[in-house]
Amino acid sequence: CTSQPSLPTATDDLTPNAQLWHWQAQGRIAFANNKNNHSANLDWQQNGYNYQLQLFGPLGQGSARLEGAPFKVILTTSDGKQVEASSPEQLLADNSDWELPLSNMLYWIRGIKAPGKHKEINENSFLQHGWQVEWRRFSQVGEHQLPSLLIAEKGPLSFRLAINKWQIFSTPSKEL
Amino acid sequence: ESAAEKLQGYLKQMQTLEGSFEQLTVDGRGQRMQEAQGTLLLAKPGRFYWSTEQPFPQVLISNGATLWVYDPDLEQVTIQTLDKQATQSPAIILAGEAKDLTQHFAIDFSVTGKRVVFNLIPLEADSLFEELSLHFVDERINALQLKDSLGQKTRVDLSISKFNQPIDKQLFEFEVPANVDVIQE
Repeated sequence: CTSQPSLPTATDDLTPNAQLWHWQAQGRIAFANNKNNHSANLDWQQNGYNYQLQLFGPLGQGSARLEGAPFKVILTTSDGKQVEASSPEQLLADNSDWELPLSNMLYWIRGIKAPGKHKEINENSFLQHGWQVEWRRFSQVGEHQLPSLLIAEKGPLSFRLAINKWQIFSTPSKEL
Repeated sequence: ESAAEKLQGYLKQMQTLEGSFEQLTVDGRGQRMQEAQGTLLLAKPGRFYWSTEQPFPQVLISNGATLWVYDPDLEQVTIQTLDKQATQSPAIILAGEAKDLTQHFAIDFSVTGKRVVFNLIPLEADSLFEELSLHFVDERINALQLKDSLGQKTRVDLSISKFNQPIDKQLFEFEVPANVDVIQE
């Protein structure tokens, strides 16, 4: 995707989900490119601009952990390697088999569009930064309607993100 | 009797298993990361049905040749052949031929009271976990634990309801549901 800033800019989008900056999403993610495909359990904790994203196999193995703050992301892989970079996308793509548009997913996962241009396809799907994104299922979390299955494709890349446990925190949940 | 021979002896006695499991993953700081529960069926050689129900459904089914990984939430099923890499996943180890273990692991064991714990350290570098331990009481498996280099530990406690009882082989064949995304590896 384009090199738009990895720091999530304050968005003037007033939809309720856009105001959600303290949450935890747990579920499953599957990713495929023309070489291979894999899936993992996902645990994404967002605390303002800081986040911790963990990918791990069904028995906890083969995991990767991304700890992100504005302009600094640290990736720890299951073989203990630690790498730092300024953007999560590049870091993940260079050090693992996952090529995920994380800075966009921070918005798409909440059922809203990322900052920047997008083209509506229908009520629940759109084009943005070269990705065709569809919110296939929603679940009610308090007074928020949040996606429970998101499917996205960009050329040979595709991922499916299923969230089955959303937790919304009004104030910072735990220091990350 | 070496640790490997002792473990092979225990595993040889196990032809089929039926039961349920409770699983807990804690991260390097001991923080609870994920709990899971489900049911498992196992029949040598190579057949198993490992169904996680909580926190989200996922089913691993092997008929000894083909491995199906069905993910209802993702509306996706991955179909692959049961290959070597899979020999390092616990489900396959328990269902695999005991004699293969020494090619993949350095094995030692310890005894505390009635509990015998085998520690398996993978020989291959690209293993998915750093250590796997298999816990036996009265020569029957009742737990396993994995540790990875992130310091993450996953413990799977098994409660075996049937041991060496006949199991219908049809349970190890998977019928792919309609309109599910299929990935053939």
